[in-house]
Amino acid sequence: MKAAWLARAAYYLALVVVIAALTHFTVLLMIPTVAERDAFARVAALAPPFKTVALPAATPKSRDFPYADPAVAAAVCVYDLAAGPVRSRMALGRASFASLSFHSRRGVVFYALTDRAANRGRMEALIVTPEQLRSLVARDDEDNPTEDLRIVSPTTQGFVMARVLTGGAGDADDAAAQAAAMSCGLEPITEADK
Amino acid sequence: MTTVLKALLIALAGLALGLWATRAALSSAGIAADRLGPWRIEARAGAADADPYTRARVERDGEIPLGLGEGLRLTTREDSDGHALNPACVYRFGPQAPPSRFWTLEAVDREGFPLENAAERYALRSSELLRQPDGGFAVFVSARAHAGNWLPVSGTQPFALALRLYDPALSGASVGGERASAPKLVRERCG
Repeated sequence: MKAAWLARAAYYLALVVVIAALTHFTVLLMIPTVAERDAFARVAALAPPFKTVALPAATPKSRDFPYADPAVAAAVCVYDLAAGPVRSRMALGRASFASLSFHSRRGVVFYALTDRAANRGRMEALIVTPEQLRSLVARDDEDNPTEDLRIVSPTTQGFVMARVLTGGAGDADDAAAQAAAMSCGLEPITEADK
Repeated sequence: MTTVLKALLIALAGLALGLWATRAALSSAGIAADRLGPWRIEARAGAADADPYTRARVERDGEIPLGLGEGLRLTTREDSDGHALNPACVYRFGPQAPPSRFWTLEAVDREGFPLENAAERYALRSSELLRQPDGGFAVFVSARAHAGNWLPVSGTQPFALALRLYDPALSGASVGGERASAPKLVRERCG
């Protein structure tokens, strides 16, 4: 009698645990696709496409981007590759550290560059779709190789993030200006490129 | 009737437990992260192949993660002895940080935002430290002003520390050999 009752209780408990596990994994895997306030959505709400916008400095009051470094001036630029490749650049300043990172629509950082990789005083990259990369490669001149750093974006939309460390108290404005001067602009593939 | 009721109850209990477990897993200290002393290394936050817990947390919170080639964020909610960080205590951070070009140390709340403080000093930079002749340093994390390198905290809730290494020599994959450089976080006194 008692054993039967125990067996039944264990059976019900097992059912609850199985349903709980199914719920847990379903919800977990669904969150990235249904999250409406992901980083891209928050960035896109601040910045229209192809326009560089400085992110508010991280303070206890600005609660849009968790784990943003208060010692870093940041700016973002949303891109859309539907009309062609996008060129992004940022000039180097006096900051001890500056970087560009490239974020897909799905929140993946698919590439990052630091000021160590700067060439002629600036960081620069050409963001392309896989198809655009193919057509650019087809147009490449073998005797005159391109100097472009071509980065394939896994999604058509995404954003570029510029980070510049603010040094002492004085040059926080310099760093903010450097980050805000980052550019991202369309560079359609034309026949003239041949 | 009782069978239907039982099935319904079991389904509801399972759903509730599953949702609760998901919420708990996402707000806890992170399941699959690498550790360095008390520090959790958030190296994969922005990676395409990050574990589903990290992906879900980053997507839900709207964090803009650092790229692997850019920097690393280390976070801890505990001191080196495993006690939760309490703003009523004084902590000493040092004497070294993992090798990197530049680092910043910030006190954050449970959601990752800086702690309110009267001085409006939310982060300490490696470039503004007072150091010993041998390059070692001590940063004091406390609510009350402290001589030397001071990072202010406030409030009554447990807090967390975020250490960001820019251009680190340490990568997520090579953590094993770097244990020795784990920055210590020692509780000096409380109250």
